[in-house]
Amino acid sequence: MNFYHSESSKVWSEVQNKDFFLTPEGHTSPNKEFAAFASAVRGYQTDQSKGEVLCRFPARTTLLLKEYEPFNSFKRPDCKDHPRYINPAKVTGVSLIFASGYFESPASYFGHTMLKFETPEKDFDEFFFDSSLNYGAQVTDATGNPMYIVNGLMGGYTASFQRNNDFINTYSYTNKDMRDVWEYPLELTPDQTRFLVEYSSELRHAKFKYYFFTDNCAHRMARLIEAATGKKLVDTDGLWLLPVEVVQTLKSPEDETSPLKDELRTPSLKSRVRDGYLALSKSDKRAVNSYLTSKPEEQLSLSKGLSNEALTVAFMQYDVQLAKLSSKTKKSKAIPKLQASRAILLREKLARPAFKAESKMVTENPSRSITPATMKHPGSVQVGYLSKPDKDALNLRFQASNNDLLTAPFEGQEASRFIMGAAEIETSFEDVSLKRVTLLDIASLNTNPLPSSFTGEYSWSLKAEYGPRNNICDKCSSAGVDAKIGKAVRLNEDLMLFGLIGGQVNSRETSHNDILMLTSENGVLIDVSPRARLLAGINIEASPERGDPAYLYKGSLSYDISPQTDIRMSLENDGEESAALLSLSFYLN
Amino acid sequence: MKKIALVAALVAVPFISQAETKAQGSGPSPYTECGIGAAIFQNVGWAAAISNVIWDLGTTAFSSATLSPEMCNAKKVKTATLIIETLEGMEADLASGGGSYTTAVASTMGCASAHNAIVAKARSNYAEVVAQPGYSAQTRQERAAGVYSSVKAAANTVAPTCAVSL
Repeated sequence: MNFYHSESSKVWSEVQNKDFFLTPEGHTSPNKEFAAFASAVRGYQTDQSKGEVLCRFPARTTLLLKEYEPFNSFKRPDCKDHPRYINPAKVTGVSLIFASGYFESPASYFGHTMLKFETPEKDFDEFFFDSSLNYGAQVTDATGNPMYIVNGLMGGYTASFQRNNDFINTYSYTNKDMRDVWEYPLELTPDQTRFLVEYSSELRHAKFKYYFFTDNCAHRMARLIEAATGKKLVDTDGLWLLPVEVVQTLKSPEDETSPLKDELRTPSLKSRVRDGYLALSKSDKRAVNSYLTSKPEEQLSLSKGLSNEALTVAFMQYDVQLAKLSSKTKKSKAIPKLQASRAILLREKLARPAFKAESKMVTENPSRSITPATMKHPGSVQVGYLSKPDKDALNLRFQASNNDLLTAPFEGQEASRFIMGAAEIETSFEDVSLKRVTLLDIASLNTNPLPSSFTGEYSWSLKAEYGPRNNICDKCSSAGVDAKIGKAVRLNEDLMLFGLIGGQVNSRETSHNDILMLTSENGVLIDVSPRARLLAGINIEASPERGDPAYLYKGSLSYDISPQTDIRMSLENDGEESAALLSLSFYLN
Repeated sequence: MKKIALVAALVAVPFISQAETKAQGSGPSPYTECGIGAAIFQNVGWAAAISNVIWDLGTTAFSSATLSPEMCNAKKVKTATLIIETLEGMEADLASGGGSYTTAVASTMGCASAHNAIVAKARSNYAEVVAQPGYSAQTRQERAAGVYSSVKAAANTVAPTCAVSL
């Protein structure tokens, strides 16, 4: 119950604050803690003014009275007067909430999980205070603290549960951070629901160490659900546990006993603007673009000519911009101008007859088949056969990624590349070599259809890795950092074009590169079918010193054999020679 | 004349609010009266992302409310907090004639059954506030006070029983 561990003769609890326990030795002695609690329960039977301990530990009380025969007939207190007591009887349902990640903050890209508690009647306090449960680190020194990431990774921060208002919480994700929110109602028995509420209430007094990869929101939410359902959900001893993995484990299509039966999506404001804009007529799109990019003195008259739909889209886009700028530590000088332009639209909307535009949409049936629950797992092993000019080799690759352009993103996300670590080994008859180590390989292909002169949004990529320039050359490996910026356009739902240009700093010169290089990546991504994707393009590299651009023509095709397996074929040609790779990818949690 | 008086009252809210920063605990704005700041949900960039810190929403407001319960009852504090935390959504809902945010605020006020009538009235009240030249330069707290006053005045008019203690 209090996350005790044992190792040889040592026993300790994950709960860090000693005042959580009933005895001074409670942190390291579950037996003494149990004895103290059992004593408190017995004490309550003779003196019913002493119910404080039982109210502080409602889940322990339930377990003891239910599971230990001597206590089966014992009474428990009515805790209604206990500070911040949550009445489990009023909670009729629990949902797992998954907030998708966003590129502006790469560390968030694997999402966030929390729980939502449903109450049939929106009682004031439950509705307002206690409708969601979050777990997070208590961080106050993030800005400018060089130890911030180290602390996050190594347990340098204290973490705890907090209960919040789900409605406002969701608003913060969808309308401030621009993250889609997915809701998964849990099918629990009334006893399981009650226990989950009691247990989460009890743990609000507990403090833990926060580890970004292994002991995070995903880990704690999974443990809560496990405690309530008795179902082992996740391997909490792995190298990492990502929020999306909890959703995927609960929603495993192979598991008929999965407590998740439904999924609901609340799109972010940015998603709604995008969908609303794409649904506009051409003339409405022009009118919106014209308003957004006009001078303030022209906007008043332009606002009169906007249709209701165009007016709504333009108005929402100002809220997207303002949310983005307001999140910056330094106050942007652009805010007053944006506020003034927004005010013109707000006045115009209020001057017209009411025009219903749903402000918060919940889609019960996602239109695309890929959702957080069904997307490919974030870890993958790729086994391939590589044929290149001077030898053939077996190619083994492991990568941790959300997408890599050849995997389909889930609804609401744009195709992208988000690899947070990869290693590749090449094995031939002659040798075994470490071919590539990637620390980070991100390409955010932003296809926002609104004018980038207004949104300030572009596509970009960032890569830090050691590896060869391509699959063709053999002695052209170097470590380097590559950064690019550009533009991506989605011509239709199945076709995207992109072009990025930037530079690269390499650790050494090779026959293929200088220390400094100019680079460009250009391509087309086609969803050939729901199972197949084609990526074709041309990479251009040039040394600012030598000129002499080098071209690499690339084509990759992937086909999903099963939800968690795909086969890939890629071809590369540098104008003289070629390499081909055929691989099988297995996606793992 | 009645309309002019209403406009004058609504427009005055932000300025009263500003005055209240000097005289805490007096006047009609719950934002200054109850200490509901505009930054309960602070964005801390990477901090939020890496840790998914969820800010202890409501505790600040509730503590303040506890300090002066006669002025800052729970209903007033929660209504005001909901408005300021979802301000842009609330304004959009008022402008479009109602939605999930106005439904939530009506529910928090205890006026769920009068939602449509309150929104219709609040919409016209708020149109007068927004029409004032100084609107776009207002702080978030001042704009929230304008929405709060518009909704409260609407509830007073169309559903006076549920507007009690706002």
